[in-house]
Amino acid sequence: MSGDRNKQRSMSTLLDVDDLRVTFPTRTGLIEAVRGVSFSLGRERLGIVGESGSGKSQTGRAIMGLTPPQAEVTAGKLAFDGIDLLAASPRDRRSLRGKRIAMILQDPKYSLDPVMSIGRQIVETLRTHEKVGKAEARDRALAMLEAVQIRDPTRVFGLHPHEVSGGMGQRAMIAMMLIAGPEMMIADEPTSALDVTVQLDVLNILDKLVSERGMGLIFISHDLRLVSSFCDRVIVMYAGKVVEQIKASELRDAQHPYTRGLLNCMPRIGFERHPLPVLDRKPEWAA
Amino acid sequence: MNAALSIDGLEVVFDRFRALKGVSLEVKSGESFGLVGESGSGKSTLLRAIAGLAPAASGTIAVNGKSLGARRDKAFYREVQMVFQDPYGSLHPRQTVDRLLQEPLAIHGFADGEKRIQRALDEVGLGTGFRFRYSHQLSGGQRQRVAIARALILEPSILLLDEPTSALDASVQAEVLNLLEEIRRRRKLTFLMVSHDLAIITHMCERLMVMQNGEAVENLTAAQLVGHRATKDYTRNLLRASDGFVRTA
Repeated sequence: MSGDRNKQRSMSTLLDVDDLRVTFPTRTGLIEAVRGVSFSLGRERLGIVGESGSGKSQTGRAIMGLTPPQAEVTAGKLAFDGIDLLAASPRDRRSLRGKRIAMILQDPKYSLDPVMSIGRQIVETLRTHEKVGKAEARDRALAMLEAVQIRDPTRVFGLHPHEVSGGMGQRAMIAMMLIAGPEMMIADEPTSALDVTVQLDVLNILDKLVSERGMGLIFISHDLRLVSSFCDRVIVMYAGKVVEQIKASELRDAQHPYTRGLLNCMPRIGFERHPLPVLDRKPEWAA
Repeated sequence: MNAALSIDGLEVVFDRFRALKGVSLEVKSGESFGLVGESGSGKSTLLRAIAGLAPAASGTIAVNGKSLGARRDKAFYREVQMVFQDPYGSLHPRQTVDRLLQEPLAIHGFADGEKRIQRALDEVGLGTGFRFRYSHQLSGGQRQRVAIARALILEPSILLLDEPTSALDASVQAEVLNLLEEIRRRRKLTFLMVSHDLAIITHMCERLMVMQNGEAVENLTAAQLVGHRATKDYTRNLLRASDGFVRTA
């Protein structure tokens, strides 16, 4: 059964992160954005949740190799499928990016090339990583656009990013990221710029493709509730550190006061609370 | 019943695009009224049209029974103030908090500025220590508090709130929502609040209007929405979507 197979595959570790640190030099000294993050990822959906400045995006970027050049990345171990990412040459990392590790960013308005048609961008990604002819690349791009549930792929293929809606742009980005068949995907706030109903459509597509292809997914978001409804496991970050790792289904029994506070402070339909409980930040959380 | 705000058949047209297609609305004095809808539904345009920031092609807007013309006078801005979505974009980057708060006082010729600034900062929970800082020295939540203080300093009776917390972290959002509720209670303000988040609107407002494509879909009380007594499919869809992701196996 496919369920058994998935289970077996999820045993194998895709990504191993141990004591990851990202440090930025500033005028006033070193700022540690990520301070010793450790986790491992199999073929599963892992959520990384935190508020702004918690280091969640920098964690994703460090794995992807997109940390700004002035910053320093160190780790006890940062390995993707046995490849030591920190020791790999820029060239090797470049060949991993897009091919085996893909990343979806928050806002398609800024992360797609504004002067290239959507189809050409997808074809470009494919032909960078695989030796395929123009006609075949086009066919595969169209098939991919169809897979992300774009109704009229031929029309959208020729459109530029400004001509499509946010939801459509995000689908195109997913198509572009999936075309080379990556084994791991990092999605950094993939739906935060979208309307709620569109958000769910995009998540559905992402969910289906990730489980069908047996990819490992890292879903970075500020929205704890959304992440817990989507992911298998959740890492909660605060001030550059992991404060809690928990199964999404057990989030209700979260131990750390920060996780509980974060869950609690959002207004919920049907649960009247005036005033809303607020987070009482303790300095020891960041220690 | 006295209406703080009554809008009748309001149309806003940008070039040939009808952003608002004849929207009518009445907000009672002291009430908190919510506008929900997806992007492009016209909810922010409605707010901006009231504030005089979007041109009304036809229809009428009346504040406290007084009909508004094409231009807003000073008296209007003493009654109606607005808080914008992005606290990073709505504060002057090269003015201190003190200067930001003095501006409306100077425009309206208030003499007791010192006292008012002191009071406004206290009211939004920022001590005097923040008074001579620049906005880049403040966090998002603190900036939004300054924006609220600036709106309150003229002691308006109506506040227009355009997604006041959507740029903030969840925990900071709770603080700002609590602050807004407390101020409304204390000053008996009327709120007209825009949000894409149904949970925030049902938390903050007694009544709400759902909008889509520049039109009103339906008017509801928050209790009706919470009790799943929405009559339109569009509203039900929004409600379902705000429950989060549900895996369809």
